[in-house]
Amino acid sequence: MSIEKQLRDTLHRVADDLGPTEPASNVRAEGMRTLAHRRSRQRIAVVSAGLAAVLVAVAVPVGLSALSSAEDRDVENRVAAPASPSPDVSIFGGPTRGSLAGDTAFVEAVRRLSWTRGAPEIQEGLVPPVDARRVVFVGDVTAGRWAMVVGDLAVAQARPSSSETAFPTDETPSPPDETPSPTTDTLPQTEETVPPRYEPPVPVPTGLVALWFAGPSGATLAQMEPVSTPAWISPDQPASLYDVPTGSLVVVAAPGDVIEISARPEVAADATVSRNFLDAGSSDGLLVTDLGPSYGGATLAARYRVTRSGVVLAEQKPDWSFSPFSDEGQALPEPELSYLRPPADGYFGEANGMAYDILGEYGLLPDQVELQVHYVGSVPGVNGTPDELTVLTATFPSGAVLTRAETVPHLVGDEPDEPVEGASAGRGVCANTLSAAGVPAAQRIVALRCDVESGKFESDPAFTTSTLVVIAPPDLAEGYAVAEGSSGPITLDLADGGIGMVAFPDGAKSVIIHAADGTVLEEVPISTV
Amino acid sequence: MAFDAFVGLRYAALVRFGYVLTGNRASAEDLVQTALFRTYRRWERLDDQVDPFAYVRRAMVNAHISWTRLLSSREQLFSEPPERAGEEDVHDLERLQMWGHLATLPARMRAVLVLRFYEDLSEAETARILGCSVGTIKSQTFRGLARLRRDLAESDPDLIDDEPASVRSRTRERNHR
Repeated sequence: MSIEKQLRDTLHRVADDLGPTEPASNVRAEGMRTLAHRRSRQRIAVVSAGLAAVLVAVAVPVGLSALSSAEDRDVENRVAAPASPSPDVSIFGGPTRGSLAGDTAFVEAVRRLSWTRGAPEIQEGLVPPVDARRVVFVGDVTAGRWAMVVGDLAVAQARPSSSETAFPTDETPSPPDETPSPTTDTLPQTEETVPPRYEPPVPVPTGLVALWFAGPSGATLAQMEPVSTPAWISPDQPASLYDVPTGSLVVVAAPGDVIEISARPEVAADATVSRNFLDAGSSDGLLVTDLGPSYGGATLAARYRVTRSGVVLAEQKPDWSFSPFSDEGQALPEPELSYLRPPADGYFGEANGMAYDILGEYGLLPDQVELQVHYVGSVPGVNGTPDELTVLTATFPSGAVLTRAETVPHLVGDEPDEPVEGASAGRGVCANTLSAAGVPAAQRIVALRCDVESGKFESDPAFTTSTLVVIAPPDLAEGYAVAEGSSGPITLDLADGGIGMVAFPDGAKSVIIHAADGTVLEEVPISTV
Repeated sequence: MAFDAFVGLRYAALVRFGYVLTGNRASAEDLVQTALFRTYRRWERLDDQVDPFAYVRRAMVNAHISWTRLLSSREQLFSEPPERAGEEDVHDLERLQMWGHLATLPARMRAVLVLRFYEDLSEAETARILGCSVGTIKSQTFRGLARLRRDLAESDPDLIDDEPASVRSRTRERNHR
């Protein structure tokens, strides 16, 4: 088989095996409006410029690449060598569990809930027939009322999807519908040979699929709606659902399994990161708990661990997370940002979004971390177009300091339009480092390498613009910084309110900060990603 | 077409595309949400000549490429493909190996291969999406396939039957990290 055919076959089969996917509310118009509203809100509190410049050597920052990647490697190592599942272990085959398991009428009604409600594109062939389903969990949690239903898929041909039914049961047959091909929207082909369209065989699914339903507290049957998508599950691996704003978490494992929880990573004063897993009081292989509110984001802070017969079976993020209902009434407080200097005119930066990300990753609330914005302004971009650089520090309860710097294309106006032609590829990270407790964040000097990419390939000119950026407290504006590159020393003037930028000197690892009279004040390592 | 109607119609296809692009379902869904957010803000200004699906797909590719730097210091999992329950044959092994080798390719190279061999786009359209020349697409396609061919051959020489004798490389490219 040729490599092209193998590649095409692999990509299509992997994509097809993903199963049906239902758009949640957060990708519909209402969700987009909520997201836009959140990103546009900022509070500015400019700190007084009368800061004493106490310069103490800052500890060498611990690269944050060690944080998540180490956790992931640990997870991968654990998951890669799981215990051989006992042939008798059946997580999803026993009686219904949860606080409402005794309400047989409700359990039966949940079993019959429609899996295609509000999701006309779900292929019926991936929805188990009603008589092949069972309710694994149904009960009340802090966030409302949840249920997990699994089904055994008989050998069936995938058929086009059905339209939404008026009442959420699967007893009402629905007419077939056309499922449009995703490749019919390509532009007209040109003169070169077009690869023949590969038609994968229609999937013949067998096995277990699962779907989570949720509703508000005391929800009636009609209020229970899907909050995940039908997904293949392994019969001997745990499943979980997590509500980010409230912290409600349900983990379904096998009777006898031990379930432990780590709500967030712990950042120590020396900038080391660890996790503490605590027995969360699971019973009969079921955990229903409340981790407290969280901001979620690109990376969830919470982890759970399931141990069976002394062997770790799984250690991972919750499988599904969601915020099913309106933000009204469930809104967490806005992160408060202290700006050490006002943003440059016409620059908005990404401080608010970065703050949300940090709070979500570390499972913290705004009053637990001090967020300070050191800089929002321009940084050299590509093709003569500046990018926007935001430099933010987060001081943890331990005193350790996270320094994060990100770039985005510079847009024009209050309502951003398309980026300027030739602008950078998009959001980039210049620094993401943890430093030990010591000098207050507002008095620290930040030195970082900022690479702005054009989005083109390495072979194209002006692919990356690399800049050395030094950000010092404003009262160091009389001083200067020196970086030792492979071609000799490069001086950065800090006269711009303590800001200095220069094309990145190859080989530079640190900058030496000098007072106006040349006195060496400190050496600061250059942060990178 | 109303935005919600478009989302209801094309969301599944977008997530599948995002999945083969990122290798991770959660990342795929995040990518789709980001791209849809950017599209939603311009929805009323998209004229009839602009295909929304192609627009969102382009936004996904560009966001993914920039995210490879953002996520390099955070969690980024190229997950195992979903189990195709019931099938246990040599083709599953080939698929797993191919999927694993895809994860080692640089993000842009993988994007080229996904656009060419999953979306079946032409070299010209792929170049337009990625903002580069057709020649660069030809080069990236050739290099990407050569790497996959080499990696698969090293995994199992019997899996590939068309390996050119000239395909050898002494240095293995690092991925986006």
